[in-house]
Amino acid sequence: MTGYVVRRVLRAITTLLGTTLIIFVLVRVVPADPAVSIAGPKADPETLAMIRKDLGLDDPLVVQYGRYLGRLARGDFGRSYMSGRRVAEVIADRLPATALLATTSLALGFLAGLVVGIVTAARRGSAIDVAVLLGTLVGLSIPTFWLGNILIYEFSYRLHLLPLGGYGGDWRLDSHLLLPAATLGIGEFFFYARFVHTNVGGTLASDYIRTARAKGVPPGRLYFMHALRNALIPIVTLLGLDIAALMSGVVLTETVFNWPGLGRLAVQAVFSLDVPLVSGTVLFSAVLVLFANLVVDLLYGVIDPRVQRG
Amino acid sequence: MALTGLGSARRSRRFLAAGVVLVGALTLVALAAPWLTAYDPDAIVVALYRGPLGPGGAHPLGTDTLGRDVWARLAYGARTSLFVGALAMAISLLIGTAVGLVAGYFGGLVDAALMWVVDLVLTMPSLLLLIVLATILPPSILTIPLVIGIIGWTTFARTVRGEVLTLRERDYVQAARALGAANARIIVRHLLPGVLPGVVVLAALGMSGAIVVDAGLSYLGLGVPLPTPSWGRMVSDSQTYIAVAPWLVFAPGLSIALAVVGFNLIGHGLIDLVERRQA
Amino acid sequence: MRRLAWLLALGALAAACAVPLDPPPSGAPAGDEPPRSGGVLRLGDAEDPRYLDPARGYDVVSWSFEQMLFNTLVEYDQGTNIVPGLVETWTTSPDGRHLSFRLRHDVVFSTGRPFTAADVKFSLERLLKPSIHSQGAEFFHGLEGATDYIAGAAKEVRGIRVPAPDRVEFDLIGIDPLFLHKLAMPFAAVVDREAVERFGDDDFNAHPVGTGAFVLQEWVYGQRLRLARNPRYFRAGRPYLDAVEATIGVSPQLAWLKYQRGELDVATIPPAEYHRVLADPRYRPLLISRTTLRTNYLGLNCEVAPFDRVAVRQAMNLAINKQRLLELADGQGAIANSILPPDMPGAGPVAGYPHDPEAARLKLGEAGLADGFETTLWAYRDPEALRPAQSIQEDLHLIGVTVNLKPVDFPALIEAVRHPGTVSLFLLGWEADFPDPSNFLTVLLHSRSRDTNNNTFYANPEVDHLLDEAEPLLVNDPRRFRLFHEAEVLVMRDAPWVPLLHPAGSAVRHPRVRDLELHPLRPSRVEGVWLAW
Repeated sequence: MTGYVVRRVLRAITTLLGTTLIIFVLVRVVPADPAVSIAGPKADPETLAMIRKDLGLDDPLVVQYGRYLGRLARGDFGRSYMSGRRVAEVIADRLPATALLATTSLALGFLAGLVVGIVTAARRGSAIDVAVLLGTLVGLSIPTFWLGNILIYEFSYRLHLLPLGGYGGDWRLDSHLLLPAATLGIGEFFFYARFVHTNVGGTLASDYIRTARAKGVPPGRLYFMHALRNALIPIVTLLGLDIAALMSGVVLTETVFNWPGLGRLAVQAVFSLDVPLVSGTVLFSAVLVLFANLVVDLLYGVIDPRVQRG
Repeated sequence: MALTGLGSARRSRRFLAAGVVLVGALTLVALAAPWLTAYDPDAIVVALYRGPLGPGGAHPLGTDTLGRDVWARLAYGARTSLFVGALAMAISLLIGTAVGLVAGYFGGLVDAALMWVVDLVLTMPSLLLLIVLATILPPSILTIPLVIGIIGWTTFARTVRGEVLTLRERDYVQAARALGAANARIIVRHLLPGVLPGVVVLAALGMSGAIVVDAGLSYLGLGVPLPTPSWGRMVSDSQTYIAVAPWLVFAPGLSIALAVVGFNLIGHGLIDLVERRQA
Repeated sequence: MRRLAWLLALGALAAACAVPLDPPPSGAPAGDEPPRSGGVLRLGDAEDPRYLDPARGYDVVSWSFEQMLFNTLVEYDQGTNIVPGLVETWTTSPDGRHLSFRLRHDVVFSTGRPFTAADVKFSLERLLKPSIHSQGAEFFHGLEGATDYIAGAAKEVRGIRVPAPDRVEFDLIGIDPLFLHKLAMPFAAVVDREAVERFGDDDFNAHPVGTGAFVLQEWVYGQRLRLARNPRYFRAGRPYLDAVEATIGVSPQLAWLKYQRGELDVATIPPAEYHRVLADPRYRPLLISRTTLRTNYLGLNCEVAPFDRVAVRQAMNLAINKQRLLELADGQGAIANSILPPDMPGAGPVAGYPHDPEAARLKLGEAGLADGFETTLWAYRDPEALRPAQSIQEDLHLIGVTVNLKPVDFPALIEAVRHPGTVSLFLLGWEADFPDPSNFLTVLLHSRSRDTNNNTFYANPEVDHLLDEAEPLLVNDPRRFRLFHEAEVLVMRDAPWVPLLHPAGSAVRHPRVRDLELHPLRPSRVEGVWLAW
């Protein structure tokens, strides 16, 4: 077991280093001169040269990378060109909004999908089965940003039911959170509904479950105790992998709803060529995904020892 | 990550048929665009711009925020979506299949290294990475698919690798190796045909994925350059007008959804059919 | 009949889709009541202001808040005249190189500490400090000893003298008729030395202390910014407001909806609604609009073929449909036929170019390019900026010129246009920093500005000569404006620009908001605003 853990953690670390290298290379190659981002449109060449010297932008790349790693290790992500504030601070500021949106969407989507998936799993082969398969296929095809706009139009503009985006800072669903969470959550819902439906359905059809039923085990217990447990492993794996997809979904949803989270921050940072902020945000997301995957893999290793040999 | 089929061949054929109809219609519109509309998609056709015009009269879907005919932009936009989707998917397919074949066949260090790279690509938040890449490379109708393709090959790689792991234990492969056949020959002649059905399924699904990603990029302003019509861009250009001209947002979004549904239907429909052929 | 039914159905659908356009609830009609004290002005912004630190801010939002927190030595009245701010009087030496100011005695910082001349010197030297990276530093390079100070060769700027706590004097290297205007810029606002020393240069932004009408009460990033009345403000009775509260993260669409519901006091009209609002008589009394001193233009790189030929540049001027550009901007502003905005002091009528695609084609033929050519237009990435870009693209397509659009971010755009030979065609605007033709003509079209803001690399020795002659002349010398005008006429003939529009700024106010006016050069001053209920 320890061998597996060690190997897994080592792999996570090397992947992390690889990620920092990619990020570093990508953002240093970004075309516009970072000095201009700070000094702005009306700066003269002397000011720009001064800034370049100040930030060490003229040193060889290897030196810059080494310095970059050293600073990361100390938790220094640099200062944002846009606002002058420390990147770590800016990320910390915007993280709660994204966390709120992501967890609410995931919770809503996952739970709803789980319920629908289980309930419909029992009726395999019928019209409901087709409905679920077709419905989820269509549902997953709807672009997030379009869905967001439509929801805004219907519920905010026309029916005046809900606020038009922006951020309330709280958990109350009737505030600004509902529409963005619904937008992102609907995608999650269709995804998990289909997966649970197919996998639980498959398990239910399996022999040993049929045997259990023949022996008179009540259906409720059946679903939750037996079928679900078997389907649990792939579901847990999926949750871990979903974090990465969630990060991408968050970018578009936050943009549509003007939600002050990390996704929108990253997009703004890229458009402003705010190099430290871009690297910081992308790196942070990567760390989150890595960490989630690591946890999932370790859990999976515990649940299913066969994996450890792989 | 194995994809599960629809459970019955009949259902699969139905889904496939529906998908083919949708995709067929889409392709038809894309190809026949010049005959389906009198207008040039980039031309400003209103004499006096006073905001977007509603559907009706000379403009079946009205005009947009610049005074251009919406239906023309939608029809020509189909060309953009299909081209970008196909090229991106082709790139993903080529890279991913190659990686999957090599990793699965050679195993060991090569496999470990390649899978490590897959992990790396998967760890990066894909949309953000795409945004950064799209900022570096000058956007064009060729670089956008390239960028999407470079990010999207991991699914192909993993699936193909998985299938190769199974296939290489088969008798005919073992025999070929025993006879001293060159690795390249084994891969191309024995393994490649085996993974092809799975690849075809992923190709269809990859098309739908690429179209969605391209739409997302265009929405953020990073897709193919103006004034080439692009559905995602049409949504973002008009979303601030949604209260006065909702059709400007509905039409392109619906088109994206239909295209994606079409390819998804084909892909999911193929899974079972392909599996049956293999077994 | 069928067609009618179809149209009716569509109409019903459209009506069902229609969204109400109600102005905010109004109270008693406006009369001649005296200003009332009290109330909180509610604003909405999509983003936090980039800066509250006057040394750093160079955008409209930052400036609007800085004006509430700080004062400058001199300021503008309702128009573009210089009036006293923190000073009582001033004198200028006959040769124009020495200015002496007597400061007000009744000014204190919001902390209670009295304001003295030492604070003025501190603030300006801070502005010039290299580590601040201020974009406003260049305006004060004309002070004696400034360059030495910046280079680190001197510990202070010897051109700023403090002979007494209530006197500050400036020595300039050469006569600068615009020096007072430079002192009126928010860059030259007076900051509290003690606060800067306590918080450090970087964090002063989050803890600003000045002499202004308001103080920063609360700033929750991404959510809320609140400024409260400064009880120690030197102008008695001002500000009328108890506080100003800005909700952050409010997009223009959301702001508009909130405004209609009466939840915000000021909002800009979304382009989509503009025509409906203008046609609605209920909104007329609530509209505030003013032309700004800004020109949006298409820049033609005079060093890159084919724009190195006058005939081609003139063809571009003739080809572009400016009327449509104005329509796309919802009629907000005026068509530009000259470099200087019409409200600029010293601006005179200039014969521009009509919209004549046929004549444009002929001009191209003159230059031997009857078959057209291909080029790339660089523009700002914003969707509202790309609409005019696409309109221009289409106009040029009609005369056989194929234009590739290259949307870039603002910093990238500004950087690129500065490099010779990189950008052939670009879409930019210039907003006056101060109300003088030199701020347009010399900064943008003098050959020596090729390293900074003369991005068309236009060089005409005759124009240079006229500009150099006009520069040192005093503002009320009639020769000054006449020389600038002659230069402008020459420039328009050489056509390095296609001037497009002078955009107008406009907003709507809540019926209870009084005395809110838009200023051509600066964001509105809030200290004179009051709420009727």
